[in-house]
Amino acid sequence: MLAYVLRRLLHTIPIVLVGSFVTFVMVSASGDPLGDLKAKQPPVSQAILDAEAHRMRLDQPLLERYWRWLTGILSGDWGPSVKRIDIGAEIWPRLLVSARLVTLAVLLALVLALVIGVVSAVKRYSAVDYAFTAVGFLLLSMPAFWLAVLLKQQAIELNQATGTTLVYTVGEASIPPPPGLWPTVLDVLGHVVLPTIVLAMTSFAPWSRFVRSSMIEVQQSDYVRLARAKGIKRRTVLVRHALRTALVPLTTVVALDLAVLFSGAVITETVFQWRGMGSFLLSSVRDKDIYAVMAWLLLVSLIVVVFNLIADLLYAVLDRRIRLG
Amino acid sequence: MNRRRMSGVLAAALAVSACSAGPPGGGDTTNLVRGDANTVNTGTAKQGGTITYVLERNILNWNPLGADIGVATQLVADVYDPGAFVTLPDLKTIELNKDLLVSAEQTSQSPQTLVYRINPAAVWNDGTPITAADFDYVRRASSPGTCPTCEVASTMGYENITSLVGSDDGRTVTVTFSQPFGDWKSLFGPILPAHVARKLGDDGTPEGLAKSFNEGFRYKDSFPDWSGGPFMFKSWQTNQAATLVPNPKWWGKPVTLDSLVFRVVTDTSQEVPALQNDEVQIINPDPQVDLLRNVQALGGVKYQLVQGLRKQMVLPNLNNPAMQDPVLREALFTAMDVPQAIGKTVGQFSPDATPLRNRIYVPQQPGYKDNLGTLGTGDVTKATTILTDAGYKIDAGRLIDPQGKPVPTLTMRYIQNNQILQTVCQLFAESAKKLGVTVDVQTTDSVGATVTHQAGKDFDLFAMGWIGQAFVASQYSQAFKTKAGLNFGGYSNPVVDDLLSKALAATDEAEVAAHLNGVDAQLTEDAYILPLYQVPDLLAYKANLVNVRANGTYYGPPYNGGEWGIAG
Repeated sequence: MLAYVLRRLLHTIPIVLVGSFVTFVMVSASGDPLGDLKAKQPPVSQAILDAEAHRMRLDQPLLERYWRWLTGILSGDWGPSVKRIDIGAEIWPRLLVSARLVTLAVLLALVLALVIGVVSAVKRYSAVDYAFTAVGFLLLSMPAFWLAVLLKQQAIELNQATGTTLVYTVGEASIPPPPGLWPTVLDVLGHVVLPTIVLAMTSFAPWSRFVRSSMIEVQQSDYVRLARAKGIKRRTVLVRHALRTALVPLTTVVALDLAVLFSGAVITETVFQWRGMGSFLLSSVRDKDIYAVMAWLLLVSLIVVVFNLIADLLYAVLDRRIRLG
Repeated sequence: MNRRRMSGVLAAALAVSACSAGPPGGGDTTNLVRGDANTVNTGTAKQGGTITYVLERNILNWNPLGADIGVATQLVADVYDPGAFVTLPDLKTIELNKDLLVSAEQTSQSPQTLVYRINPAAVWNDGTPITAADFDYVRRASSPGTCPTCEVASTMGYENITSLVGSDDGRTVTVTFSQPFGDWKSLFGPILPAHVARKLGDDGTPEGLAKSFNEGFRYKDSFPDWSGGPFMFKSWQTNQAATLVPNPKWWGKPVTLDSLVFRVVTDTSQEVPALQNDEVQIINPDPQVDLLRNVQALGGVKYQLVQGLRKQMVLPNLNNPAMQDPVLREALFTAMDVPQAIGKTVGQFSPDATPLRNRIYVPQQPGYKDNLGTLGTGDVTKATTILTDAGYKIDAGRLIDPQGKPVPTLTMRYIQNNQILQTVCQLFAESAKKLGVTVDVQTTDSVGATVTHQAGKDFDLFAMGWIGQAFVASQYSQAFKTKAGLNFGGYSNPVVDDLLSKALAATDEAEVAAHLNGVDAQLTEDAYILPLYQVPDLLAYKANLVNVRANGTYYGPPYNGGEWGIAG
């Protein structure tokens, strides 16, 4: 297993290197990082522009800039930022913010997807199945920003009806925070509930469809019918035999979706003003902050690699017939 | 989700859709607050409470004099960092900051000499008196002669100072200039604490000075722990919020609030729900039709809609051959119907919007005068005559220049996602089409990168915004002088250069206005830049707030943040 993991990781190195060079060239060509500074009113002096160009390494050839960036990464230097932020110090807390948002949402979405997917499969073509299918397709076709706006309006109306602010629409917590432990906990929960629901709803819908179709397929397989013929309880067959196998394709989908979500639930973070990876990417692109964009891209590519690896390892756990080596 | 909940959600969706698709026009103006710009919404505040004001950008440099700061830095600085003068919301009054200064007068014209008398009660929040040393720190940092590497926003005026002398225990500051500087009220706004600068590295050397200015006052991983205003910092969470509390050493009118929070909300469309949910109490977004309708629909919210110093215009790029003929520019600008453009853009939500007929002044300023002639009138017949008189002809719907060559397709740009400027560009293209000129409308994601791009400047025309200032001579000499920093269109005319130099040196306002209107008239003759209209400034706030008022200048609404409060 360990050898397999190491081999997989080694394989990713050339892929990440080639990808990073291509993206570095593209990002560097996407605009002038000093454009906004050059258009300042009143104008800044040429000496300042020259100093900024030097600090941003714009006076160096592209290949040299790439090499300095690449070697800098190895020593923890993510490169200079247009905004003069410490990119390394900025991006890790943002990854945690996205992780906090995503973890709760994914847990909720997984539970819903499994329950609804299994129930739909077991009671397929029943009224319950049709209802869940309708809801699933409704959520699938509903853009995240639209759902977010709807939920915001509902939350505000709830607050107005109750005369107290139970649910918040911007940020991760109130500033200044309310005094006391419990009010603070309730405040944080009041901020997390809406973005969690939005992310969970948009993720659970496709996942529940995967669970349903996998379960239907597995239920018709020979080994499940054999298990039933042997007199094993229906629930045991469903949970221990059918569901376990049906989870394999879901694992792939969830692993890929998780990588995307950790890289920043851009729309949800924007609507609810969470400062995670998504808003980091947006602000970096807007400011033509080359090295900040590169940091995001590198981190996201590593996240994709790691989650794919985790998915492969989970296959072996879920399906004993799969051997890694 | 059961049927009942789903129907609730769908009903809400329809309601939201209906809200965002209101008809054009003034809308419900029940909650619109009007009055004297400088005194509107004046009231008595009770003690206590917190007000949260929305900042639309994060703050990465706390030095209000820094070169790379955004508007947000100045908005917060309004309430903790004092300056000599402040521009009031009426856009024309440049008022002495009476908390900081007892007086500021020009005592001699030759050499120009200014005397600032500092309020004897004025102290920083650690008890250190505010003195001439604080003024001198700003002078040293802002003058290339004393600090060549200080990254300062403007050196104008400071480079002319030959001496700055403190007397009366530093409470009187005497400033002498080598050559007159008419916009002297723009200087020392704000000042910075010299004793803090010493802790930040200012050891009297240019290197130490630059270190304190460029790095120290930037407060990269922290926030200013000093204050000379009504509020002082309590905390700052980057990308989240700055929390300020009353400065216990504040000597001016007592503050009533317990705290003032500047909250970062970077998506304009999230500001109205946050205001509705009472998570923020004041928002100052760029107005658009849908946004204003949503504000108007809120209960317990008032709003002010005023004309500010921001304006929009069409900039021709004289670096490109296609735009070098003033005849073609004059015809294009004459054919453009600015009143029609206003009716289809800002006029939909701002009934006060009118065509701007001067590139330098706005109608609220005393120097304003209509210098545009026929430009912006939409007179296609006149425009056609201008062209044909100069030897142009329209052949099969295409304009042919006097040399017999077809006028090439012109590229016109605007900043992406700006629907108002998109409409302006489309209308401009339609009017140009009537003259046989094809205008290709394209977007850019960076105004700065486009207008300053060295390799060709990839635009013929640019519909763009311009942030005006009360100190017009300083600002527009940078925009219209040959090879000046903000001369994005590559304009050059020795007559204009001379008039701008005279305006900069003049200390009499009427004389300054005469010179600058001369500049504007010459620009009309050269058909350089078509001004469009002022951008309205929207301020929405909870109805129980007092002394909160729109201020369409660089200082923004927090210019009087120390007076804000909750109605008693």
